[in-house]
Amino acid sequence: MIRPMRITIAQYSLSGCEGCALRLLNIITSNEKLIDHIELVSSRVMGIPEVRQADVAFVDGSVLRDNEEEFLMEIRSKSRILVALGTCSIMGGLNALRELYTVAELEEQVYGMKLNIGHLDSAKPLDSIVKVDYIIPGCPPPTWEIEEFLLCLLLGKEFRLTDRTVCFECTSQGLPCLLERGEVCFGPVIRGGCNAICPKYGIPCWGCRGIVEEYGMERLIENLRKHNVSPERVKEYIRIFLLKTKLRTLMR
Amino acid sequence: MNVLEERSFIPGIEGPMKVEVSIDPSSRRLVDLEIKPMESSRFFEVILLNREAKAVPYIASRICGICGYAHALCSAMAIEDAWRLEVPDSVRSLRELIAILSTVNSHLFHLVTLLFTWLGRSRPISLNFKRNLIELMKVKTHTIDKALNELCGDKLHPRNIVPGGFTYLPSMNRVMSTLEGVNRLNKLVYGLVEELLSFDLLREEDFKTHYVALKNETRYGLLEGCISIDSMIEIKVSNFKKYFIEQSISGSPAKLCLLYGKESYMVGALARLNVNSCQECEYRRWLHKLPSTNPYLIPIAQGVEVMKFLDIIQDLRRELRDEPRLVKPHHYPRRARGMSAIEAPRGLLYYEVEVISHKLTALDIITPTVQNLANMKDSLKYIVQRLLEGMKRAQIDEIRREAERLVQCYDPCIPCAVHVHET
Repeated sequence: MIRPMRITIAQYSLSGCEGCALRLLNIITSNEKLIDHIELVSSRVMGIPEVRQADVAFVDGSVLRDNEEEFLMEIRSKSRILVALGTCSIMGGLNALRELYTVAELEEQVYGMKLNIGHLDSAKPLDSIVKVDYIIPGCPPPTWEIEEFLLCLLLGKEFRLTDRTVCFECTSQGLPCLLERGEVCFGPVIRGGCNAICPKYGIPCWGCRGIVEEYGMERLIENLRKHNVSPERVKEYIRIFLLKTKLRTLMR
Repeated sequence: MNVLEERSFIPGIEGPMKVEVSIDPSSRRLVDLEIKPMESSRFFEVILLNREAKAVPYIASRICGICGYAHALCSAMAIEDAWRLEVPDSVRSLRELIAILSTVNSHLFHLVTLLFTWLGRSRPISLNFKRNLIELMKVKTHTIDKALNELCGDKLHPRNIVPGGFTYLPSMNRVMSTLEGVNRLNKLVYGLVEELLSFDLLREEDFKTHYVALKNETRYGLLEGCISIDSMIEIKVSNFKKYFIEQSISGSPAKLCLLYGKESYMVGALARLNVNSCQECEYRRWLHKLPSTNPYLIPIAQGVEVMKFLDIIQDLRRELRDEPRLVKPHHYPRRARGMSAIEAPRGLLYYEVEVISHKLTALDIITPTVQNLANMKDSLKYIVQRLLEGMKRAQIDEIRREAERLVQCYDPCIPCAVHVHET
């Protein structure tokens, strides 16, 4: 039973695909349990572009340009709780791949010129600039987890991410092991909660929810070697979501 | 000279964008107008290089949170073209269904956000209508979204789309059952479009331009056909770059694409309806006439498309069969180029790839918003000048409001627009 309280929510997007924002907005506009208890006070997509005081601010995307740092600090100053929503905001995600090049190289390759619009060399996660109160990982985060987070807020309950791994969720559904087929799958060390949706649809886990099982990483790399997966292939797949993690260091 | 608009954001669109308008108040003349996307580049065309082909659609779909399906499909089809790989009819028809579902999803999201965005700026929306909007989103979640979740694992970013087909598919019976409720959407969408029309916000304008879309003689499709310019010139996908020339702009993260390198053109729902005529469509009366030259009617064209697509979904639903859905090439070419052009929700999306064996080695993406940006600018110039001519003195607020509304009608997707690459 939900307590009759109401919270104000703000939604902001930094650089990213804005898929996390669309997921959040879809929940806010269609979840009957939540709709009467939530007031959306800021969201550019929904026609309220100003930064406003809010109980909870959801921020997706990462900081890729100098002016986004200032924007993020303004958001922090006006939000009681700040939630990093999605892989890009938590660990750089796909945006972090720019760190393999210089901005000048990237701009030259894509535009044939220097743009001079304040592109940063790195993709900064939110917690490198401001205090982040909660993270909801995933590319994009699962719907149920965002709903759970909102329900916890409304009920005054503590929100916790699962410590289960993707591998646990995969095997408990009886899905065939992709590692054993020689695929590069990081499922044994990656945080679950996604119901192993990628392995279920025939694609290995490439780690969008981040590493939860640090102790198992060395074993995983050993395991990949045993299955004749070359270090180059492993590196290629680390360079999807996990460029900024310890897994990358271990592969050096 | 006044700089009229200096805003960081235009509400209701994906990705921040700024429009700057300079007018001479004394002569009521438009001096200059610039569109400035403010999004950062994410350089997908570089970070996708040297990837195994099967990972390309997975990553490409992350270019955009709303057109993710279009990017996944178009990249997979371009790689198949390079591999000279023919996929079976079962894959083609399922892809068509997926493209239609994701387009309905995108259009409905745009129409609902438009109404929310315009709320309070015109007459108040009735409580009853608000309930209908919530009901519509709920039914969409339980039908369209659920079907995409079932088919591809996630309604935002598909998991199983790869060159050659699908890595996995659920039982088609399950997909069919999720789509049973689609009929319930018809009435709600009808009410949504009627309400939008009754707002009296959509100006009557006659902005003549070129319209470009895929044309398919057999049915109103999104994935197959030749590229038609104004229903008069039809070109093969492989000739795309002979007609449409992309240009970088100093200091801007978004490029522009121009017909013959000099003229702007429109892509998207209105262009698709104009090019394909759609004489028999009963909802074309919403547009008054076809072809239509009024950019303010783009959201209405999206409404017409949704009504058409809801019928097509019913037809395709009945054709679903559990059949093998993945083919692989007999051998990988040493080095080959491939192209693909499909209709994303916001218009024509073009991918050109080079592969060496099973690895992607070069990539060029031309997105719908890149193609529409110059047209948006031209139509804004046209509208602002028309407004100025009709005013005794320049009314800044009204010009700002109309400019903003026109941009919102185009449904631009800036995260897409700033990810373009020329090889």
